[in-house]
Amino acid sequence: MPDRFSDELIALLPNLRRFALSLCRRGDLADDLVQMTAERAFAARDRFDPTTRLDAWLFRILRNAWIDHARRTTTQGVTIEISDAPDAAIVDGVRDIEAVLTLRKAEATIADLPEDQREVMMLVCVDELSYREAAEVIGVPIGTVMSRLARARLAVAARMGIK
Amino acid sequence: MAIDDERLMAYADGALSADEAAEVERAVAEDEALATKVAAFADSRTMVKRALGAAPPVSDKLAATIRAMAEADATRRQGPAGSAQVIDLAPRRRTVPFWQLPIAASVALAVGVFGAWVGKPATGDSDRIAVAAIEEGALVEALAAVKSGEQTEIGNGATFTAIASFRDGDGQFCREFEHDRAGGDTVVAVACRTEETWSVRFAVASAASDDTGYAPASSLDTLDAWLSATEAGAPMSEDEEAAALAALR
Repeated sequence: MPDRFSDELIALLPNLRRFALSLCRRGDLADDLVQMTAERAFAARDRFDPTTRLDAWLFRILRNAWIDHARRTTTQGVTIEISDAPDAAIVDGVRDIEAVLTLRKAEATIADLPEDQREVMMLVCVDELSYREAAEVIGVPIGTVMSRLARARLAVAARMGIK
Repeated sequence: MAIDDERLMAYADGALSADEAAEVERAVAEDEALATKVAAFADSRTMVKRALGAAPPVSDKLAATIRAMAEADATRRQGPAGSAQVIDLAPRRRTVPFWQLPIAASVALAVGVFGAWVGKPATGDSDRIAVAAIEEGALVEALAAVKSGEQTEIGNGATFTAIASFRDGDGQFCREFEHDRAGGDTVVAVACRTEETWSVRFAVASAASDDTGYAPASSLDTLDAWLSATEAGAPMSEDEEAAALAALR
């Protein structure tokens, strides 16, 4: 008998890893977070409402796993505000270095944003959650999501010279 | 109605009701500054999606671990042994190691040895493609100093363009760069810093078929596949990169 929950979770692994990488910026840790998320998800699967988005539910679990990890491993000294971007921005059919540099600049610009702005940007603009769904993942009011998101996008637009 | 940034953004995202959207449209039609802001919201969304939207397959190891978890979960849910049917999980995806990727005829996979690039023949030509003899000193200097996004000459009319810095799966400091010989081959490569030296971990070369010297898309695909396979971290921000470069001195 086919198990939709398992199938969908496995199909979402790349998206989970992308989000994990945006939070922790390290490939090895991103893999650990995805694994932790899968463990917790299987354990809690009966609490998942199948009429809602599975990815949003998993992102929430992943984000909590990340917070747990961050709490357990409070590091010495400065925590560098790092950012994300998946392993490589695949540039479709791009043949010139200019476009690659623009994309790398966009990645670096997003890397400089405060963590809370970057996170809403990821969930809404990349994973295409609604403002409400993103608010549920993060556990803040919808207005907070919208104001962080607006600030983030205007900052990116300004830095990238988008007119 | 107050037309604040959040409302303009919601309008750009199609998240307003029809009535609200109509009100915003009227305001935007009369005020160019508002129109510009709407465009900024729309464009930034597109740009972010393009920059961060890639979701390559996870490593074989991670996929296998998760599949095993799914199987164990299924077994647990099945109940007593004997009543079980094997659950058919998502079919295994064969992830091709990057060196087995089909490579376009014009691209030769170069195994970088510090000091020289040598190409393996892609088409069965017996001639090896000697891409360039790297100016060692100049390359080392460039790797240690040039910011990502900038370019420098490194002798014999060749240019070095720094593309991005990142940490590999082992936490080593790596830099992705492009080396163009004047009127000749283009190499996109990754060099990582171990102890006191840079070693080239990956390089892909293409004999330029025209004078543009740009690396074709297929070689970037190969690079991206390698980055994925080696669990490369995300590109560093400007500040992080500056700190990592400063630490070299």
